[in-house]
Amino acid sequence: MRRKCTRYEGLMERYLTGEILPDERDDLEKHLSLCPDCSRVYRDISGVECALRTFPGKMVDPPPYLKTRILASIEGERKSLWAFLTRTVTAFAAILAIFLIMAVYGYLTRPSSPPSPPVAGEKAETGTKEVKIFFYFPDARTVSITGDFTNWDPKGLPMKKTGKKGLWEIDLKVKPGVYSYNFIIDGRLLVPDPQAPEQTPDGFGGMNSILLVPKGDVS
Amino acid sequence: MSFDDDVRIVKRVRRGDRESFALLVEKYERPIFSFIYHFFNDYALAEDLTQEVFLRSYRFIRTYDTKQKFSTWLFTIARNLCIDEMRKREKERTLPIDEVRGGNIENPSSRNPEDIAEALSDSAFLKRLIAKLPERYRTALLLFYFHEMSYEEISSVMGISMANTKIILFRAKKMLSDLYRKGE
Amino acid sequence: MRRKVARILLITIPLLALFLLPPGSFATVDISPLCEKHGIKGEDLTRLKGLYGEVVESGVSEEELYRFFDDIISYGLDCRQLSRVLEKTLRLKKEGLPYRPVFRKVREGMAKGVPPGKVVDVTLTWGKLLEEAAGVVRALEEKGFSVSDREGAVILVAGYLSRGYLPDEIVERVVTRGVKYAGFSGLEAFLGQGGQR
Repeated sequence: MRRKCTRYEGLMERYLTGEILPDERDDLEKHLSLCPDCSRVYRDISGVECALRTFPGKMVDPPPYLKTRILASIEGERKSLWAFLTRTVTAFAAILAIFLIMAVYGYLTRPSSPPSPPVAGEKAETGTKEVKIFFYFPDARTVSITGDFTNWDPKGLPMKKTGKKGLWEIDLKVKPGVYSYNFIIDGRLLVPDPQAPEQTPDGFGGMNSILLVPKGDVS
Repeated sequence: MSFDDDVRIVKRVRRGDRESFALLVEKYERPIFSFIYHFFNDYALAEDLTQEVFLRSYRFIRTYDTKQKFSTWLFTIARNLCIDEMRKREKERTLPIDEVRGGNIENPSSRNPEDIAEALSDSAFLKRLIAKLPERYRTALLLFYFHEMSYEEISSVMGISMANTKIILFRAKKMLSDLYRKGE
Repeated sequence: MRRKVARILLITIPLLALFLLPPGSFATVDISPLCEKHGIKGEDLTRLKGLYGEVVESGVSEEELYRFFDDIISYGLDCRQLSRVLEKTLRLKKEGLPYRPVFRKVREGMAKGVPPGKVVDVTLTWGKLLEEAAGVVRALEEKGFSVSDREGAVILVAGYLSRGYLPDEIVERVVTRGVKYAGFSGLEAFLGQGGQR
């Protein structure tokens, strides 16, 4: 587009939105028929317009656990607001209660993966396995874990603070099997582990995370 | 009227009915997530920011003016968060201008490079191009074409006049075609 | 004379009862005081005791059952709700299916502070899914897949069902695509690729 064509840009825009005046339209159409640059620009923009209108993936499904995660963070928010009144402004920073799980480590879903998993070790004599679970939640005073392996004990097993701020951990000794679980924050709020490899609705309106502990490497 | 419904729900939330907020999350989680996802072309980031959008909307629900559409207000929050995030990212690593402008986008070999519509029908390619647009052009484009917002709604989200909205939309399309031509 | 008759009756009636009453009365620990404490008496109590005994009879450890029963009655389940849970347990046990997931589901609801009625509804639905899931696992076995951990596989499949997959759909996908590529993450840890395919 040559410099003198700049004024046609505005006309083109109004042309495309159907807001152009008749005189201007005649002017533009005449120009487009004469100026190959402008006509190409016009064709390109119509092409872009068409591609945008027919774009197939306009809406993208969020992960199924996102809603739970959002609602849990709002629950955390309420607590923090209360803390805000009683304590300090820093509570606000803590509101960024973004759940991050480091891992339910390793080979859990893959019995055929390479030998000697990094964390989970088998104790042949008792038939139980050790699983390390991490949970990131800086805005908690206490975190425990409960689930099928504790018979859903309302108190759960307390998790320990790691060296890293906001990161909690626990070593579980469990028999091979499939276990639903939740974390308990401050002894009150049950939340799923959003980064666990498997999630399933708990039927009560919330979500459970699933811990898979396969039997030893029986093929 | 869904507009009325939103306002009614918001009023319940303000009265302390937290469960009602879940309805709003239910309804807008997908559009907000999609917007952020296309804004950055980053799924994991979209998760975090979507959560943050709802958290903020909950926190500031009292500041929402019920004369406005709730969705518009929510998108305003989403846009602001995206801008913050973008600045944060830009500070962390300054990209050469050319890359920001989309100089090095590999173009899928299309049989007819002249036909831009055909080339852009490769949605992954178009997605990458969109994510390279400057913020206001990207936002306007997404709101108009992906979220089917009116000029009026977009001007409300972006705090600009309707006339400006139209100009921005036009330029956004022009930029996309330029990006395409440059990457050819 | 009267005293003698009374004494004979005192001995014979329980003996007779032992043979005539449903197997429920075999439970060694009496749940009557517990039930009465929570306002369950008369016919309701008799029926509940019968059911309880049947569950013990079916092979559920009495210690485990008593503790569970104590917990749920204390949580506020009424007679009808208690019966429904016991019936489900009995049915699963008789079908040779794991019943503990049902206990755990109830406890889960309790831990989450869910009202008793809802706890029971959800638990029974879960029980039904477990039964369906057992059918799926059995069908897969018939198609030649080996099961390394039945309970694990059943619970996992029940989870898929709760997410809206249909039993036939699961079987078909696993058979046509193989355990690993059926899109059911985790299943390969409990189900082996059999001779088929």
